[in-house]
This record gives sequence, structure tokens and C-alpha cells, in this order.
Amino acid sequence: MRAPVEVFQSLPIGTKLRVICLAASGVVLLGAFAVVLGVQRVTTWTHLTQQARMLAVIVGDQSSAALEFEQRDAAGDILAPLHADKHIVFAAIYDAQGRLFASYRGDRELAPPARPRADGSRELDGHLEVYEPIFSAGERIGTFALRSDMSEVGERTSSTLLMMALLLAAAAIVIPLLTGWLGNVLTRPVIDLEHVMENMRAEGDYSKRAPLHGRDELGRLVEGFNHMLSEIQTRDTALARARDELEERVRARTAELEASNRDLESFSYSVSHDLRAPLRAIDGFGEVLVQRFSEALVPDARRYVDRMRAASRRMAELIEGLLELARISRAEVRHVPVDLSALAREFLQELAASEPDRQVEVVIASGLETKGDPALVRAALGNLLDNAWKYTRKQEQPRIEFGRELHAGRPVYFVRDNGAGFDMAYANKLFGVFQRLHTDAQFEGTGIGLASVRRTLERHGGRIWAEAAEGQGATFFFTL
Amino acid sequence: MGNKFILVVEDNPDDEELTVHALRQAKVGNDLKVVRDGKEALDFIFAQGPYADRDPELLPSVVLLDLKLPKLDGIEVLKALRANEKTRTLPVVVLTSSKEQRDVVASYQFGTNSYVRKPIAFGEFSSAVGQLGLYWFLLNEGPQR
Repeated sequence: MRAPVEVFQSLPIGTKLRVICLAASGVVLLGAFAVVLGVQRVTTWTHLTQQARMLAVIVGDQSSAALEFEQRDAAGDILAPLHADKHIVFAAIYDAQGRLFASYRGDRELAPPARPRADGSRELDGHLEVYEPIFSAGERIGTFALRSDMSEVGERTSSTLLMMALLLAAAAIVIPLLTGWLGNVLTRPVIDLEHVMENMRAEGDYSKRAPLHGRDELGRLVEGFNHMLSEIQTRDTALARARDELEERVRARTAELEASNRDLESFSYSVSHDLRAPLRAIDGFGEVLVQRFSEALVPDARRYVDRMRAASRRMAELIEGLLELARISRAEVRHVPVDLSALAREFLQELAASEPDRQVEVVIASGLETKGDPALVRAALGNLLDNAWKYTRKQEQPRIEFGRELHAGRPVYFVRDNGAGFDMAYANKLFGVFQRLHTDAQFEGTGIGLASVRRTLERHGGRIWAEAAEGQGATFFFTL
Repeated sequence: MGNKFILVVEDNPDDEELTVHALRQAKVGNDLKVVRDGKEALDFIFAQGPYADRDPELLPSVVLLDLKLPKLDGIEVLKALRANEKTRTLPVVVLTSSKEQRDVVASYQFGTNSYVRKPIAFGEFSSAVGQLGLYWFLLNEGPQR
């Protein structure tokens, strides 16, 4: 059950206004009525008292002769006409000694007191009693008593109350009508404002404006609201334009990217098919030449053929590397759990098996897991371990370590070796395509491996960097 | 040419000669037929067009099929072979330069029996082709026709 205040607060504003006006008018009217009733009662009472006293003086004056000559009948006759006033309960004449001389009883048969009370008028049991002295030749010869009921006061009050009730009823009808009509001045702007707001909320329509009805506080409120709407509309439009532009730009950029990806793919495809065939011919016919004409070839000729064949195979490796790089760039990267420790162990075991004569100390931290594309991560990690294996070849006590460190709270994986290392001055060239810090005579390689590793890590949102010193090994750090 | 032979579909004369050389070395090179594009391959196999007078019942033991071919490419040849009741089970080995995933996947999808990438180094190439010839020509038992 809600408190009356709450109920009132949730009433429509027009109804509220009516209730307030009605209540205020009611209070004022009732107050006014109370005052009027009070005043009326007092004036009626005073008026009646004066009338009674005047009557007392007149009747007393008329009866002074009868009293003086002790003519009781005459006194009774004087009193008799009082019956014309039905409010008079009794009237009485007392002689100088205070004995009842003559009396008149109204319809209520109430007898006057045996002895007069003190002079003057007083209220007694809702009645008025008046005692006036009777004089003759300046000498007091008796007292006149009169008792009158005051029902006239009540009668007048009743008729006034009836009138007031009619007035109140009229007010109850007229005031709400009037308030409704005049209150429009207040409620109309508020209701209009509410409609605009409702429309805005329901349909997101910011183009409607609330009509202006005047320049009072409400008018200024409506103006402020309209201004706010314009502001919102302007910003909305700007925002929508910016979003459209952005979308358009993203679309254009995506289309460009897709086109260049398609180009890259068809380029890779034709490289894969067409660039390899001539190399196969060079190597193949070189071999056939050596096989079939070995006697005819002088040693130098044989050497040249071998170098041509070696060069063709080298070029095939380079093409292979580039294709791999392109493949990494356009591959779809999956994100599934990958056990790096297991991969590293597997890889180093394969390397050890391929060169059983080499003794390499291998340290692999266990339980290193991450999320990434298994094939790509495997290739990248394999590349780094391959390098470590390769560049420690000339080391007497080669050592390769794979582990994880925390750099600024973030996990960083590393592959560390104590091999040939490199000069940090050239570290920026390390990850470029076809960039090498060693000659083929020192350590063989295509110059694509680390570029592929970097591309793989970048596609995983990670990066790679290295620390090394010439002759003191190298450490490759990477994040995934 | 006897009842058993190998069909080589190869447009590159260098690759053709090297393939032939490798098959000869493996002693399976005497029964060879070489065609230069996809259309000629289908004409030959189905004994139509220029090969209309060939006995259509005579099918190769194996087709060594290059993918990048003029007119009809290797995948289309494969599709045509697999769509025909007569050649549905004909052994086909894709022998090509690329190892692009889309080539490998498409070849297997359309029913190649094997996918072999031609190695660059001739030693490896000739041993791969030689083994293919030996296996499909001499060892493999195809369905009775």
C-alpha cells in the first residue's frame, strides 16, 4: 500500500493542480465561513439582547402606573400582548419589595422566579434573561423581568450554513473547471514537452521540437530542452558521418588487402609452379651431361657443371623460403594450446639424430605452454633451434637452452646458445628477408628463416628480439 | 607398345625428357606414351579425335599427370577421368612442381591415387619417378577389366 504522498506525487500534473486549488479554496472558504458564522452569532445575540432590553424598558415604563396603584389586572393586560413574540418564555413585574406582582407565561409554562435577580441581562441555559428597574418620578418602584429563548440565533446559523454548503458545492464544481481551463497555461507546455521526449525515447527521433508557449520559467525550460535536442542531433549526425566514413575506409582498406592477398596468392602459386621447372632442368640436364659424357668432360668442365647445379639447388631453396614466408603471411592463424617444451624436445632430438656425432648440452624448461597455430609455432621454434644448433657447430662444449623469463611481469620465451653469436651493431638486419650476418662459407643459410619467424610471431601478436656478442653466443627472445 | 604402358601428361619438354630419362633408368621407360596437354590426354585415353583409331580398351597402367597444363589443366583431366565409368579406377599419380595446399587438396578431392612433388635435385627426381614407375607399372595390381 502506497503512502498518500506517493499516490499524490504520481497523479497527472493537471489533476494535481486541481486538487491543490480545490484544497486551498476549500480551506479559505471554510475559514471564511467560520468567521462569518462567529460574527453572525455574536451580532445576532447582541441585537436580540438590545431588543429584549428595549422591550423591557418600554413594558416597564407602561406598567409603572399599574404598579404604583397596585392594579394587578391592568399589569396583566400590559403583559398579555407579549405572546405575539413566541420567543418570549416568561415576563414578570416585581414590586419594590421584590414580590411578584404580575406575570406572563409563554407556551412552555415556565414560571418566573419568586424574586428578581440582579439588574441587567445574562445568558442562562441558552436563554436570555433581562432584569430592568421600573422608575416613577425618579424613584424605583419595581423590576421588570423577561426571559427569551435564543432559537433565532440557531435558526439564522442554520440558514447561513445551508447557504454556505450550497456555495461549497458550487465551488467544488466551478474550481476544478476553472483550474483545468486556466491550468492549461501551466500544464500544456509540460505535457507537450513530455510528448516530444516520449517520441524521442521510443523512436530515437531527435528532429521534433517542443512548442514554445511563453517566456516564463517553463518557456525557458522548453527552450533549453529544444537547444539540447539540436545539440544532440548535430552530434549524432557528426557521429554517424564519422562512422560511415570510417566504415567506408575500412571497406576500402579491406578490399585493398584482399586484392593484395589475392595477388600474393596467385604470385606464390605461379612461382611455385613455374619458377621451379627451369631449375629442375638445369640440375637434371647437368646430371645427365655428367652421366653420359663423363669421359669427355675435363675436370674444370665437370667443376663448372657442379657449380651450376649447386646454384640451381640454392635458388630452389631461396624460392622455397620465399614461398614459406608468403604462406605464413596469408595463413589463417588458429589459437589452440601448444606445448612448446614438447615441441623443443622433439625438435632437438631430431637434430641430434641427424648428426649423431655431435654432443650438445640441451636444457629445456618443462611445462611451457601457450596458445597459437601449431604448425606455424612449430616452424618458428624449429627455425630458432635450427639456428642454435647450426651456430654452435664450431663450439667445443655447445649448449642450447630453451626457457621462459618474466620481463616486466610478462612471459618471454627464449632460445639461448653459446655459439658464434653476432655483432649487436647489425642486430637490426637480423630479421630482414635475405639478410645474413654470416657468409655461406661460415654457416650455410638462406636469410629467410628469421624473417619467417618474425612474421609468424607478428601474426600471433607477438614479437622477437635478440641479444648477442660476437663469439659469445646469442639469445633470441620472443613473445606470443 | 605392348598391353602395359605408362601415360605421361607433361607440357614442359624439359620435364618430359627428364621424366622419360628417369623411367628408362628404372627400366620401365620402354612402354611410354607422352601427351602435351589435358585435352590430348583425354582424347588419347577415350580414343577420340586424333586418337579415334586407337583401341579404347587399351588403358595405361598409370597416368603421371602434371597439374599446370595448356587447354585443360590436370584437375579437369582428373575430374573427367573419375566421372567416366571406364576410367573411374584408372590409377592416376599427380606429378607436379607445387606443393600448394589448394593443389594437394583438390587432387585428392577429385580422386588422385597419389600426389608427388617433383624434386629440384635430379637425383631425388629420378629416384622418385623411377619408384613411381616401378610401383605402378610392375607391382600394383589394378582391378580386372
